[in-house]
Amino acid sequence: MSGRDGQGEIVVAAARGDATAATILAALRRRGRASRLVDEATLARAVLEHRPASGAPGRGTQALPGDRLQLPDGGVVGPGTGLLVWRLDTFPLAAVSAGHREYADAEAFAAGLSWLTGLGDKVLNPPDPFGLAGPRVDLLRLAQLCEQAGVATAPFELCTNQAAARPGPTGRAWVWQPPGLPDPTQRWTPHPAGPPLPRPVLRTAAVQPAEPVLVLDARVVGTAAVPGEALVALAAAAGLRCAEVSTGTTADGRPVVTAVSPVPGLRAAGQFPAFVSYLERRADRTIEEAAA
Amino acid sequence: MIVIIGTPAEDPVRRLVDAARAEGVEALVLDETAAADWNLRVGSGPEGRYARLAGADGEVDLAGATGLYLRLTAPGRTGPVPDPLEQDRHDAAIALAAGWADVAAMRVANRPRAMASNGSKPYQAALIRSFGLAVPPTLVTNDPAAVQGFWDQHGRLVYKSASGVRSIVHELTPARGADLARVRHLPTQFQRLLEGTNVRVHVVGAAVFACEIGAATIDYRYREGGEAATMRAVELPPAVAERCVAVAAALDLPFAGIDLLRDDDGNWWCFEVNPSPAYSCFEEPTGLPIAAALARWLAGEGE
Ligand SMILES: Nc1ncnc2c1ncn2[C@@H]1O[C@H](COP(=O)(O)OP(=O)(O)OP(=O)(O)O)[C@@H](O)[C@H]1O
Repeated sequence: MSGRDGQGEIVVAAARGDATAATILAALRRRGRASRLVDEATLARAVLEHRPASGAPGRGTQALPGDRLQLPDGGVVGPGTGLLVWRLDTFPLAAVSAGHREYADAEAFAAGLSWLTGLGDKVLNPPDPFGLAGPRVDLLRLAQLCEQAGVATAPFELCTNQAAARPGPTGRAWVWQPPGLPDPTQRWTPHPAGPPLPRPVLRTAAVQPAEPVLVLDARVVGTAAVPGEALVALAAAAGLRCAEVSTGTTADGRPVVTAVSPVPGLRAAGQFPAFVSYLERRADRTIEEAAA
Repeated sequence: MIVIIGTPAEDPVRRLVDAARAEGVEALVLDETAAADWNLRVGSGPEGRYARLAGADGEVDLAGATGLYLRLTAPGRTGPVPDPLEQDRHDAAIALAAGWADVAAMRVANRPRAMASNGSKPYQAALIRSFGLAVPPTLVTNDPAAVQGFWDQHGRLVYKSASGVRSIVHELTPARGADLARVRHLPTQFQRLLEGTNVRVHVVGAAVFACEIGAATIDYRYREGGEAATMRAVELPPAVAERCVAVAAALDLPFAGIDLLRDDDGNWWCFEVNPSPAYSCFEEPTGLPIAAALARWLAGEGE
C-alpha cells in the first residue's frame, strides 16, 4: 500500500503539540498503515512546486502534473498521497525576517490554499479562504446553515454598543472581544455584572451542552439531541466532509446546534476508531482510483 | 431602500451615492470612518435573522433593504488613538457588517465570503478556469530550479503576489533572474508573460461594461515613468461577455471587475476577478454608466 515517494500514505499536517494528531498517527501505525506527521518544522524546510490548474478552460480545479511538496527527508506529498489531513491554520513555508512577516504569511497562505485545492479529494476537507483545514463557521453563518439544514440554533444577538442597545433577548451576556465575530467553537467569557458599558456584547440563551458528534460524509458518530440527517445536511451545507458538530438543549428543552468545526477533537466515545477507519477508507479509495 | 457601507468621500462610494440619487433610489449610507458610532445589532431568534441600526429617530430595519453595497477600505485613522472601547466598537461594527453581508437575504455587492476567493490569486484562477475563462500558465514555487525550467518552457515570465496584497507585476528579466535563489525563502507566483491588449470588464448582475486599455507598461496601473494608460469603451464579443457574466455569477461576485487580455492570436485570457472593483477609475475616463447600473441592480432591477 505504500512505496517510494510516499505513495498511498496518510499524511497528517499538524502542530507539534497537537495531541489528537499524535494519537491518530499512533493508531494508523498500529494498523500497519503507511503514515507520517508533517509539522511546522518539516514544512519550513519543504520545497513546493505547485502547478495550479491553468490554460484553456476545463473542468475541475485539480493541479497539473508535476505538482508536489518535497519533504526534507525525501518524502513527497502530492498526487500519489493517499489522504492528507490538514489540521493547521497556516502554510508555514516562509523563511523570512520579521519585517516581512505579514506579507510572507499572506503569500504562503495563498500558495497553501491553492495547493491544497489542487489536491482535490486527497484532502480530508476542502480547504477554504477562511480555513486551510476547512471553512470556519461563525455565529451568523451557523444560523444561516442551520436554517438551510432545518435545525435550530440558540437565539443570539450581537450588538456593537451594549449601553445604547435596546433590551434584546433575555439570556446571558458574554464579552465580545473583536476583531471578528465570536467563534462558536471557543468558550466565551461571561460579561461582568454592572451597568452597561459602551462596548460590544454577545447575548445568547443558556445551553446545556451535549457531547459533540462526528459527521463523516453521510454517517453520524455519537448521539445528539438533533436528528442525524439534519447534522449530515448541516455539515454538507458548511462544505465539510468531516465535521465535529456541537449540540445542546436550551432551558425550555429545545435541541440546538451550537458549533460546527472542521478540526475534530475526537473526545467522545467511539469517535476515534470511527475516524481512523474513515481515513483508511478514504485513502484506499484514492489509491484504487489512481490504480484504475 | 439600498444600504451603502463605505467611506463617503471615496470615489466608488461617492459615485454610487450620486447615481442612486439620480436614479431616484433611496440610499442609507453607513460611513466606515464613523463605525464606532453605528449602534448595530444583529441576531437570530424564533422570528429569523435580523439586523437593526439605531439612529436618532429610532431603529432602521436593515433587512428591509433590497440591496447592500459593501466597500470596506479600512481608511487610516488620524488624530489621537481612540479609547479601547471605541476601538472595540469600531472593530465589532465592521465585523458585524461583514458577517451580516454574508448572510443577508438580499442582493449584496459583494459578500465577504465570496470576495475572499481573491485572497489567493492562483486559487481564484483555478476556479475562473473551471467556470469558463482561460488563465495563464502558472507556477507557485520556492524552488529556483523549477522556476528556471518554467522559464525555459515559456520564454518570458512575470512574477506577482499570490495573495491579495498588491504588488507591481514585473517581467522576470535576466537581471532579476540572477537572484532566483531568493525564492527559496518564500513560495512565489510566476506566470507566462502574455502579450496583447488589456481589457477591463465590469459585470453588474447580467450587464457588462468593457473598456480597452492602451498602456506602455506590463502592469498598466503603474506608468513607471512612461505614458499614462489610455482607456476607451468597447463592445465585447457576445461569447466573451457571456462567460464574464457566468464566471462572476459562479464566484458569487455579482459586481466584479474582470481583468482580461486579448492576445495577438485573438485568444481571451483572464488574470483575476476583482471583488471590490475601483470602478470609478474606468467610469470616469470612458463614461461607462457603471454606478447607475449598480444602483439600479441594488434596487432590485434586472437580473
Ligand atoms: N501573466 C501576465 N502577462 C502579462 N501581463 C500581466 C500578467 N499578469 C498580470 N499582468 C498585468 O498586470 C495587471 C495586474 O495583474 P493582476 O490583476 O494579476 O495583479 P494583482 O497585483 O494580483 O492585482 P490586484 O492588485 O488588482 O489584486 C493585469 O491587468 C495585466 O495588465
